[in-house]
Amino acid sequence: MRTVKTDGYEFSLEDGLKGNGGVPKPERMLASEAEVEGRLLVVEPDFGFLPVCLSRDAADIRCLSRSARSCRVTRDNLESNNVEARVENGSTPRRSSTQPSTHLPHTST
Amino acid sequence: MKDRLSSLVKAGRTGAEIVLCGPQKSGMKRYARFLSDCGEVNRYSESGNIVVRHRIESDAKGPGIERNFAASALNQTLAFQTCPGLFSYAELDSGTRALLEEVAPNPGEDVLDLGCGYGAVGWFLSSSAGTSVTMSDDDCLATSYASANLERNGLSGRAVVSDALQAIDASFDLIVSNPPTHAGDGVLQDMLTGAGKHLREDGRIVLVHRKELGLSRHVSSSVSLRRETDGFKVVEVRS
Repeated sequence: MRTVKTDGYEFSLEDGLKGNGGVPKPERMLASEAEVEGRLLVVEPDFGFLPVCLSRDAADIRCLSRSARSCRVTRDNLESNNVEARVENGSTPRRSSTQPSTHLPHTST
Repeated sequence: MKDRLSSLVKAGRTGAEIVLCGPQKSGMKRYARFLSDCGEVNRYSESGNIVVRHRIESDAKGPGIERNFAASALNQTLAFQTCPGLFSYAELDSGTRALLEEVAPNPGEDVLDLGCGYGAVGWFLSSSAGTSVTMSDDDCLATSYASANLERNGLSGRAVVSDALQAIDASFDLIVSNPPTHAGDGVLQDMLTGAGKHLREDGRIVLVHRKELGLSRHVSSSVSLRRETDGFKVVEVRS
C-alpha cells in the first residue's frame, strides 16, 4: 500500500486502481472545474480523490463504483480525511436492447 | 461510454450538471455531441485536456449496447450476453479457451471461477461437468452478467462480487482463473495468496496467463505447466 499527499489530504493507493501511481491529471482538472452545489454523485471515484476534494461544498455525497476494491479504498480514504459520504458498489442503470432499463443487482463487500 | 452517459443523464435531475474531463483524442468531442441532444453543452480545452460541462434538460436516448453471441467449448455451445467494458465482451478469448481445454472437474467437486468476468469459465464448467460453480469478480457489472446468464442457460451456480477473495467464505476443490494480469502485482498477490487459503486438501488451482508473464512468485506451492499455446501458458498449483 502506498500513500499520496495532495491538496491538503492524504490518500492510500493500491494496485488495481486507476490512480495507483498518483492523481490522474483529468481528475485534478475535474476537482477544479466542478462547481458543486447540493447533492453530488461521483461515478467511479477510484480511490476517492474527487469526493474528498469536492466535499467542502457538497451537502450530500454519493459515490458509485463497479469495483469492490475501489469501494473499500474510497471508504477508507473518506474516513481518514473526515468526509461523510455514501459509497455504493454498483453500476449506473443500463439501457438494454432486449430488456427494460434496470439497476443491476450487486453484492457489497 | 454512450450508454453510461445515457445512464448518468437519467440518474441526474433536470438542471443538474455533468462534468467530464479527459485528454485530447479520447472521444470527448463525440461525448459532447452525444450529450448535446439532451441539454446545453459547453466544451473547452485546458492544459491539453478537454472539459465538457453539460446541463441536463431532457432524457437521453440510450443506444442499447448489449452484445449477444454463442461460443463453443467442451462440446457445449452456450449463449452469452455481455456488454462493452467487460473483458472480451464480443467473443470467447483464446486464453479462456486454453484454460477450459485443460480443466476437468470431477463430479461433486466445488469449483471457484476467480475473476470470472461475465462468467464464461464458470458457465462451461457448470454445463459440461454438472458442478455447481461459484464465480467471483471485483466488478459488480461483470458478476451481474455472470449471474443473469447462468439463469438464462438454466445452469446452477452463483456469482459474488469480491475484491480478490475477501467476500468468499467457502473452500474449494478446484479454483480456476484467467486473472487480470494488467491490474498489478498487488491484485495478483491478493488473488493467488487468497486462492491458496481457500483450497481444500488435495485441491488444485489452474491458471492461464500470457506466456511472457510469470505468476509463480505469487504462489507458495510448486507450479507445473499443463499446456503451452502460441500466446498462453496454463499452469497448475497443488495444495
